Amino acid sequence: MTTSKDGEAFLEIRNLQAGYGSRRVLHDLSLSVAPGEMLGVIGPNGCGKSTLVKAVSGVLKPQGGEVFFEGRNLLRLKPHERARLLAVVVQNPSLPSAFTAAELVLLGRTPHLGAFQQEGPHDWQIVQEAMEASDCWEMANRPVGELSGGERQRVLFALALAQQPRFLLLDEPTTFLDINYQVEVMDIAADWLRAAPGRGAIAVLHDLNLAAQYCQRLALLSAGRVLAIGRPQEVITAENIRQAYGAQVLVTPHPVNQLPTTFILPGHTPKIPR
Amino acid sequence: MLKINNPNPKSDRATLSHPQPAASSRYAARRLQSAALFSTQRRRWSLIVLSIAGLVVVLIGCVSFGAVPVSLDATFKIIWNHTVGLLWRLPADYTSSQDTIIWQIRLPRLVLASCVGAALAGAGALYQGLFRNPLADPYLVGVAQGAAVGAVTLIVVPLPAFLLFTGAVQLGAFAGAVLTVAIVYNLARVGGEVRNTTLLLAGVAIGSLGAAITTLLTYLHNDKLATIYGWLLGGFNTSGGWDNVGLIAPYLVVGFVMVIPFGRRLNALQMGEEQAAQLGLNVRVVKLVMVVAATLMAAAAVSVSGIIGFVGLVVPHLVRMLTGQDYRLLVPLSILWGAVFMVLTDSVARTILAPAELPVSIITAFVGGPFFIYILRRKKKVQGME
Amino acid sequence: MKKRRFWLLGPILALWLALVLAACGDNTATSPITTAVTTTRSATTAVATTANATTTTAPATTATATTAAPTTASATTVAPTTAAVSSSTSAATTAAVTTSSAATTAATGATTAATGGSTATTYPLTLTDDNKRSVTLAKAPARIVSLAPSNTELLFALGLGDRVVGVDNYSNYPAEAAKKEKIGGYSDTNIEKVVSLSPDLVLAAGITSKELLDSLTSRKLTVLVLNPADLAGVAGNMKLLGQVAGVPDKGQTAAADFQKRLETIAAKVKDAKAKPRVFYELDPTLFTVGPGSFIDDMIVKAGGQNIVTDASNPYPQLNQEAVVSKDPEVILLGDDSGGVDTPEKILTRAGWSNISAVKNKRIYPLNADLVNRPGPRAADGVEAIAKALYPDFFK
Repeated sequence: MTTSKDGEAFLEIRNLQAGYGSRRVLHDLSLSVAPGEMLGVIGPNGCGKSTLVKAVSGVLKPQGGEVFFEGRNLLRLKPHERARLLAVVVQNPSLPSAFTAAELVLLGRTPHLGAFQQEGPHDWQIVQEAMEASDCWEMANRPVGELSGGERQRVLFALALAQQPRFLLLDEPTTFLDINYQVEVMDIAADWLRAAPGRGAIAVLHDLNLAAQYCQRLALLSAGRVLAIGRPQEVITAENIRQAYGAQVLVTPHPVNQLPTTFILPGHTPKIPR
Repeated sequence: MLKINNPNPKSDRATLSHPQPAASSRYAARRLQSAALFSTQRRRWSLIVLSIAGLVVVLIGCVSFGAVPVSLDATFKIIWNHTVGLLWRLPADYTSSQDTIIWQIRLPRLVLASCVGAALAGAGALYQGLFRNPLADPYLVGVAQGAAVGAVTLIVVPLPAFLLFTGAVQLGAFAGAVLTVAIVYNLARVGGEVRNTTLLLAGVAIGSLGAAITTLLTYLHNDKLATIYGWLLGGFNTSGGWDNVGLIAPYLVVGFVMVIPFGRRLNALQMGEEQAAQLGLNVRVVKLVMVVAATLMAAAAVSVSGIIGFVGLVVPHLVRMLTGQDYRLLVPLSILWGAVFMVLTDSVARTILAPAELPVSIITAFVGGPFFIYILRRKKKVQGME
Repeated sequence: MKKRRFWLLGPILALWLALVLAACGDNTATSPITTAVTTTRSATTAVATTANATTTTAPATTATATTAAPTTASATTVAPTTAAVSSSTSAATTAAVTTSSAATTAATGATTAATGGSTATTYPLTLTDDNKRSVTLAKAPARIVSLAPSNTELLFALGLGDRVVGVDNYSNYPAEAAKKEKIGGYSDTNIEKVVSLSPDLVLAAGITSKELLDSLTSRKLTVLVLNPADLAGVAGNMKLLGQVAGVPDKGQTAAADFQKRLETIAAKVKDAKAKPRVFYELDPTLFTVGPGSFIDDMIVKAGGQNIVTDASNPYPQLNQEAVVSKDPEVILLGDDSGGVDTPEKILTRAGWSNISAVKNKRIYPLNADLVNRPGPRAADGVEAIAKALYPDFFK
């Protein structure tokens, strides 16, 4: 529950409490993200990963705690001000199927435009850049309803980028995608992070290997609390995984980059000692 | 087994701020595309201009048809002399009866019909966007039933003389409609949040309660059945003169002004309320504003015309099928085409049995239903999907 | 395959359309309204039910109407009926369109009148009523239930008031009638109540629905329908009722008095140079009366000229332009009891200022009970209209 090692908070979540009605999902959760960092959030289903995204992005009103972005309380900002700083790539939204991909990405300009303001060539330029950055400009004129899962995810990424945010929240962006698209989407995120200073991201991931490969630091959540936080090697250990998930796994260094890689052990129940 | 890509180098992709030099020429070509996309998007706005022109043409065309024949020449002169003619008159070689029929009866009726059509189609488009439900129409959350209760109450209850002013029934209908939606909206509010399903269910519940009250009032006062029935059928026959146009115009204007800037917000809402909130929308406020705007428009329309079905459902669909789902275009086009649709159907209603009238809601259903089916089937063929 | 199935809809639609058109031809007001009810989302259930009842009635009625057979009574000959119009269809329609006008019919002169001598009636008596139903009475009725105010007034006019054991809720004239047992309204007649009064004659009217008639006859009640198409039909009903009740003299006298009053009115207005053009407003959406309606006959007998001359049904809704261009000299309001527009309101209607009736302020609300009840007081109704048309002749 400590802040990052350098103490220089870029995005800082302090004692966040959130839930649905009387059911509290997040209990005094504190996390921080440094500039240029992608913080991976992992944990079993129901540990509060999605609730964390909802609470930080303002969809769910937190029951307590604060979220600071460069010293400004995100939760106190007006929705459109917050949306200019922080964009979310959601898991599986319903999409208006008759929209073209470009029209959909143009929605990312919403927080930047006033009520009576029309988008101009400048906004379309940003749409194009965002779509090029997420490698989907070719489908600009295709109806969203006709896109494949991987294409949709890239368009959604472009939508988030068109908001020109400083911070990205990725809510399981690779779910339902084949590995080539998984890698592609994560690469887009990593590229975006590096492309300019003063950017950061939180990626909620369920794939431990993907999380280890792409995130500088990981936070392992369990039952709405941080079980472990730190570099992938520190967090992804067989013991931590057993504690959080109740699953028996084998963790070995990646043959190329030595990052921790998790292997499942079929047929093994948690009872069996490793 | 060990063939794993290094995650970092992706030389064939440009980043947002640093396009790769090697690819710059390719992107230069594409940048032209973005400008092209922008201008095609912009060109679509000419559809609105075209539709306005279409509305004017339809209005002029329809004003020369009626139960009583008036020549196009005389029609033009009458309208001219009442408008521009205040500065420069044309010779009045028409009878005063013709003047009355065109300027005090037919033209106000057409204008009122266009206002009502515009309001109903606009409200329908709003509700379809808000609820993301293709079956949504302006009467979804109880406007019609509420208006009926208000109107029927004022028809059957013996009123003190000071309440017997012209338009009392209209006022009753308007108040009934607005009150009903307010009740529905408040019922649907759970912990400050209004869920769509709750809103729909509350609308259905309160709507049937309203229908029951209307039935009861009708039953208890069946000596007034003719008047009640005449109101429920709807139409523009006796929506006399410019007064009624003046009566609903303010609400329409307020409704339109509220609606037009909400096109993009409606677009964002198409992704679901969560995603819309993440795009910086204050969903609660947007929803409230849109329900208020749609209610004002639908209630104003219902109060002067009675309950006219089908317009609010068919017209937005028609527009959507022909121009796409972009609500920035869909809402204003629905408003314009709703006006055109209503002017045309009302012209049929008032001439087909002349000198007798046919209730316009029959025409809207007869014309709208088959046309809608035709469009649906065409669309199915083209896209090969639902 | 799919396409072929779609085309199957063709004949079905054609059949349906033919049915609709047939219904339209029968009475134009019926089908459009039925359609409207199904298409207008919020049409109330009550209205919907009425309209549905109307549609289901149509075919059935035709069947009943054809069963009418030439009948003879021992002492009287029943006048052969002329036009074969299913008046019960129109009666049901009337319930849907205008309840306020109690007796209305599309029948074009189907008048059943007893024309026999003035001797006492012999029972059993068989005769044909206004719906061309054959009705047999075993003996003179002593307990009569009336289902409409016009019938009640007719009974009292013939001095049969003490035989009346039950009346509908709207029977308010004469004052004694209001004190009788109430059996409900038109659409909510309490059949149990009717049966419990054990009447030997039930007098139905045009407003009485087919369903109610069936349910009464199925309970072995003797039901006679009085549904005069015009003023002459009222006189005919008086004679008929006198015959039925065994007081033929009273029936003849009442009919003669009634005719005499109409003749007196006709005599008064016959010196008029021109017949004034009349617009008869039933309600503010300009529903009016056309040829074939009872009220149209009243207007004609009062010396007026209805501006509606060529309507496809007896109760058309008139286009506002048509009213203005036909320029009525007198506007009659069918109901003075509120709920419809007052003369003051009509004076301020946009576009109506050039109408002669409006310019000369000749707008007259009529007592609905006099014009809407095809009973003995219809003569008062004609007189009220004549007074409105020719105030100078009635000073």
